[in-house]
Amino acid sequence: MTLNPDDPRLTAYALGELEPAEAAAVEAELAASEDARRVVAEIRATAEALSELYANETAPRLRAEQHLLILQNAAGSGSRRTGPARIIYFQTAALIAASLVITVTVAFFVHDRGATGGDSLRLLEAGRTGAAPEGWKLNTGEEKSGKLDSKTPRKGADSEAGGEKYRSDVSFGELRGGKAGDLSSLTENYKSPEGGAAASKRAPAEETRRFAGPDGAEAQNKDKNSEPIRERGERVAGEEAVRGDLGGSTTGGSVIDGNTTGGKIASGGGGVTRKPVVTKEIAKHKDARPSDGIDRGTSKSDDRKKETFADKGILSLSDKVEDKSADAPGPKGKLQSELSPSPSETKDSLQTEKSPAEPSRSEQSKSEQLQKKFRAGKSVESKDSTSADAKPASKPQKDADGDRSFDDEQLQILNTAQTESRGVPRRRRIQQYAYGDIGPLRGHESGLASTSLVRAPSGAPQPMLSGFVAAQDRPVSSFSLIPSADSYARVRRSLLVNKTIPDKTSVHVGEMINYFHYETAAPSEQEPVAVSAELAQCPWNPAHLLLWISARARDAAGDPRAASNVVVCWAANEPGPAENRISISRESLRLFAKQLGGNDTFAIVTNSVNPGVALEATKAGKKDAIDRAIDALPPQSSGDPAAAVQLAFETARKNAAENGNNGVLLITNGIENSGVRKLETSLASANTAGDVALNILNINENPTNESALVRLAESGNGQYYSIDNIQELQKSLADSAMLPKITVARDVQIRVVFDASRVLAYRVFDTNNSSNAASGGLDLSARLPLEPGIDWPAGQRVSVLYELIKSDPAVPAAQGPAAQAQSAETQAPQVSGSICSIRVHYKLPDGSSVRNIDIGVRDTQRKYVDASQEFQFCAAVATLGVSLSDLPGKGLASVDLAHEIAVRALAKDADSYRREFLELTGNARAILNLRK
Amino acid sequence: MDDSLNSQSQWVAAALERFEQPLISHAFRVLGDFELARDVVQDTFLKLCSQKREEVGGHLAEWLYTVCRNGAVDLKRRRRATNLDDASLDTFAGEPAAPIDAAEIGESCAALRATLQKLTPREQEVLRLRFQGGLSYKEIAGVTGQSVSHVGFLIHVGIQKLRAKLTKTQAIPRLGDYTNHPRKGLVQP
Repeated sequence: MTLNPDDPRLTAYALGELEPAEAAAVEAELAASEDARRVVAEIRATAEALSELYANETAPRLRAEQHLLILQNAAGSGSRRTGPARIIYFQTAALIAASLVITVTVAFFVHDRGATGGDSLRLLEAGRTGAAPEGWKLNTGEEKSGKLDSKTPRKGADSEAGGEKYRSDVSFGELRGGKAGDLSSLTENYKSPEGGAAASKRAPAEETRRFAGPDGAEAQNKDKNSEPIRERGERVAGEEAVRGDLGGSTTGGSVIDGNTTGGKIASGGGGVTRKPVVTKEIAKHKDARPSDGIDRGTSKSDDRKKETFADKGILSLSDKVEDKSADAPGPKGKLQSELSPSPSETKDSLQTEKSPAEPSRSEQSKSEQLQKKFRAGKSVESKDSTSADAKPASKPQKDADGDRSFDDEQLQILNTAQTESRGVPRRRRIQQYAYGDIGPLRGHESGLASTSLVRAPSGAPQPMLSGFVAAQDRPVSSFSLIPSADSYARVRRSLLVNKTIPDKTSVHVGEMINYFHYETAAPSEQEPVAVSAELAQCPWNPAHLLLWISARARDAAGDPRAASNVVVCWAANEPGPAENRISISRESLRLFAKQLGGNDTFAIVTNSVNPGVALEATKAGKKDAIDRAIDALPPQSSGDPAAAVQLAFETARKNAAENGNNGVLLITNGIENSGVRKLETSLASANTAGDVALNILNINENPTNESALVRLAESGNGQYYSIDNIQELQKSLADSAMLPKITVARDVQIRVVFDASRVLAYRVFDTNNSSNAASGGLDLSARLPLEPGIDWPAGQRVSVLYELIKSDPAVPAAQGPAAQAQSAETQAPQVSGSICSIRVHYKLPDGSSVRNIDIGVRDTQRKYVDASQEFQFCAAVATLGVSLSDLPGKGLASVDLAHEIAVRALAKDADSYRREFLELTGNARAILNLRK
Repeated sequence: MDDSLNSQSQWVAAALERFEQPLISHAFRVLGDFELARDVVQDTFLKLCSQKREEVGGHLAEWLYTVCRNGAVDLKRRRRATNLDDASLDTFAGEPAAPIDAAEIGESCAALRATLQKLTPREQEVLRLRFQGGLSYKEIAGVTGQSVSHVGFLIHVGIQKLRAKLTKTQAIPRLGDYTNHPRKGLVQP
């Protein structure tokens, strides 16, 4: 018999996982072996018992409001709102209150029309059943332009509060009938120009109610058009925050895109669609606006209420809010109650919704208009945004030379970004911060988080492109100086090893670009730190600029580094197919030994049955002796790694380098839980003085217990490295990260000061730039601290990218008080004529001297194809990251574009990492093509 | 349009009904917090809403588990980045001590549960994906990022450990008396 009872094929056969041919072979074996049949029977019985066990589990379900939200989205009517669960309790309370308000409003409306309360109920029922209630005329698929107008003045509707009038849009979105399971929602939006304080003074000025009934096909188009928004909303769902605001977007509160959340009424009955859309506008007087002309939107959740309720799946009224500034309601003090828009209105509305390629507004000087509005704090009007929603399905093709019309492109991107900013509630991260789940927000996070709401000079919030920070409000930016390439490692593993597209949330552009080393200017003899910058066209948004900043510390070579005493603890004890790991482990040791200098000592301890010293402390210069010891290491060690670590610490302490660096490097192929616990105990007893660092190198393509090993290394004042192949190993060793290094500069800070007259807005991709952090949505009235200074060891390098939106020079930029204070505090000078200036602030290692390096960056209007190869390759990596991430404003970013750029930037690829990047893009293209 | 919308809605609703609790359970194993697990599962289904049915196709379970797992791991990673004390021993924390009411389970289930808790987190995860989520080896490999053969190996090891325990406690019969076991209809000895 070739099968033994422990053969995994028996399990696979019992579970039906074998291919037919293999299963037939196993069956043949089973026929001849009673033992094998018994094993298979027992496996099946165990599997059955396990299934029962899991089936009997009583895991909690989602809460009702979560169900509701999901099913609303499934029906295409829900707004995308997510966040920590605790907020939902507050939502629920607000939701109930809003339900009551809206119910009264609906009833009152019905009453205005001379209908009875029963009519109101019948109307709701109509939405469910698809049948028009008696006495009501509902548009059907055959009656697109059917109109029911009722203009009834509403007493007291026009009022003024606090000297200003406010507008409230209440949209009754989608009435969806025909299915008992259909959901209902009712959303009300209030807009207040003065933020939270003003919200309490809210008073309706005018009301316009509208029932509209486009047919099903139109609704489908609309739904299709809103899909990208829902997609974007979904992308940031994991990080969206502050549920108190149920209303989706917080783009200054000025425009909330109903398309994001539906706003359709469709009947499932009889194939006829009835979609009365009720829009109630409580408009404010235009002339009551602030004299500075700034259309202040709302910012806080108390500025605007959007509540949703469900009534046993009867009615779906979702938030559709249209900016009515262009076609503001009629005479003040009058109530316009329209049961259907006028034919022309209907036509206009439908055109913007159903004709993606058809512009809804004049295209003349759109970029300029948008920029001016943007600067002035005005939102893009809804019709524009709707047309942006209805952008052509096919993305514009990139010109061969990257040239394109600036205005059109900027318009497209502005519209896209503006659209994306709607339907995006505040981020969950901010909510986590508010609840103390996470630590203080980083400076750049605060900046990105505030992108949906930035402060105008007067302190009022303005709409802002999602993901971008207004330079006039926040001219000083900082970024993380801690290099990290974790995201690239995940993307690489996903594309090269698993052959899958990585999860969007795991793609962080800043971490991806920092995987690579770029050849930039080395620090001079006088300065231990150098910074260089390059500005060119942004590949994925040709109307934008891409600023690449690369900072590096002096290399370790030639520095009088203190002697190192390293003891390697060889604990390659993973059973099974570990031959490859063993060879990698041996190779890692050789490479590591090569990193050591002549004054360093090197020893090896193994965890064979009896832990022993395989190589006594040897000067690193004796390469032959070290190589021989490495070759003689056992392929598998079955001893206790904890005992070996104990011995390694003893050896390290015995040969301790005075005033030097003493460390233990544990090389393992994986340690089980029990082993980790033993190691923790062993480390606690062996390293009580804390004078010997513990680094861990885990060589395993499927690493386990990583969290425990990370903590173990951290408790040993060392670092943990996960290596799955020789390339990663070489990369880690090439960084010499495991060797102790001298500090060449302390309290290093880099500040970028943008000239607000040249830069409209920016966003940063740095190593702390999670994809979610760029989604925006936080209103931070106070300036949060910039990145703190850190100490830099020799050889440290970090790169960061800024995506910049240039200002329209015709529009003067005003600098708010917060920005002025920020600039003054940082004392960073603005280099004349530059688009931004960069200041590196640091102290010498002994703290004796504080130094600054200032450079300016000018816009030479260079295309990215004309930039340096280093810039191009960095841009290629960023393009891939942007295309794979869930960032808003992707523009033209695609895998193909990343590949095209990278191909041109392979000249400086001594370590072949860049060529491997081409493999990534190639695999990504293949996978995406397969999906198509 | 209505048909497609209804179809999409019904599809999501069916997926919600089928996978809601298993996904919460799975996310809980990663996060150790039911509230966070609910959030992750909610996000998972919201993402599903924006997917075209034909794109997810016959890989619904794999898709859901992958998105849910990634979301949970990502959330855990971010939380851990700022709160080291919150870090558990492994990404997949494994079975809780008493997730179900002991009175509701039989003796064999209790033995099975006890043995299950002793498996490595990775073994527990693949077993849960297989026997709770109903995923195939290949789908599990897609979810966990491991090779199919390694998934098979992990499941085999997990089953072997459980089988050894159950046969020892006679929770499952040996071959000779198997035909008298209540589950005889399920197994062809």
